[in-house]
Amino acid sequence: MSGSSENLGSVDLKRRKFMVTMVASMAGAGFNLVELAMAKTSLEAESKLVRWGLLIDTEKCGVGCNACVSACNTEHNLEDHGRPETDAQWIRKLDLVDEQTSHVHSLPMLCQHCEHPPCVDVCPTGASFRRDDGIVLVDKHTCIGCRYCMIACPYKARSFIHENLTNQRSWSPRGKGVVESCTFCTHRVDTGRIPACVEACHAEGGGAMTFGDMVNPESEISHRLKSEPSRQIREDLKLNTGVRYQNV
Amino acid sequence: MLLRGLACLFMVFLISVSSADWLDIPRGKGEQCIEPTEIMRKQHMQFLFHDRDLTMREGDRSIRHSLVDCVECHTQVNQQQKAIPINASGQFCAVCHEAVSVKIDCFSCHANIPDSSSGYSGFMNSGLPESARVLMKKWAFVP
Repeated sequence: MSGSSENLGSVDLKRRKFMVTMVASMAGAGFNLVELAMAKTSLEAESKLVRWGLLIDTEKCGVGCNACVSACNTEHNLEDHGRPETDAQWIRKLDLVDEQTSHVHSLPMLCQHCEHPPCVDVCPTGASFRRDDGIVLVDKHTCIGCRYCMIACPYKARSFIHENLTNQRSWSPRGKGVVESCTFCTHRVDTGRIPACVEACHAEGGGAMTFGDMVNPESEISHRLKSEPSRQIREDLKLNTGVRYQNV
Repeated sequence: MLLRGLACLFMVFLISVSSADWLDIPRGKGEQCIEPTEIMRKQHMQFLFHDRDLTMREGDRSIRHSLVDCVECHTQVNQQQKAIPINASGQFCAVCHEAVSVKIDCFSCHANIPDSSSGYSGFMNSGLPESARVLMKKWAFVP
């Protein structure tokens, strides 16, 4: 027994020496293994320079105002089937009441487009994914409708479609048997426009929403995130959300 | 002799089937599809698969093969000038797929009539395109 293990040991030692010499000779020739492993394609590096985010000032968000919700419903044709428990809902208004003072605060709740999304972690098929620019989406071609993501999401942001749908928008394919949620209006963002809810908030609501690129130091959202206090909802989960709230 | 005759007949049948002339396929708008018809007949699904992943996963909106564009070009209108769903019986998608017994479910999710006739054009012409563009410029420095 001991003989064979000694033999193995000596073989390992030889192998290790060989590897060390190899790596050393490579490094000597200007060939750096670490850099090679971390190299990204140009495309990858470029798209990771953007991370879309949304800053919501709840002071400006009116109690009873529903502009963002109705804009989203119209933009994506989220129809009302008269069953609020299961109807698709990508953005909803929440009223927070301070029990001591009865002060009512209102805020919109939607997919938080987390950097570490629990929905992506639990998805068994890879249908739930995060785009390089930070937008979390469902690939409905791959989704099997298991709804694990709906259970994993701390924000209750996702909906399962129970009915056959008609009259879908060309930019927002939706159908029965899969899970869906806020897409940050990728069809708009990809073509240089802001999401429908943000547009409606400025046109009809209190102008509470600021959309933009969180990693661009020049953008308004990053200026404000740097200079003003803001919070993530359930920041204890350390998901690094793309939607931030003020005055909550 | 009989065998040779049968083989000849079979060849003629094959040629007629592969050219799809025996089907009454509605013509699309314009002179020519974005790819030669013969290639489109065999490979339209590969094109769509490839480009949908580009758009969905990478946000590339400049793709060449888009289902929305297929619908835009190949939808027919009825006598009231209303668009007929492209997957309805006798329409562009249905003719071949019905003939070869292929059931497609693209249109259980995707729009089967063009945006121009869907009655809502929020994305194409929103009430606020200019102000939205100004906001986008201010917030995200998009040119």
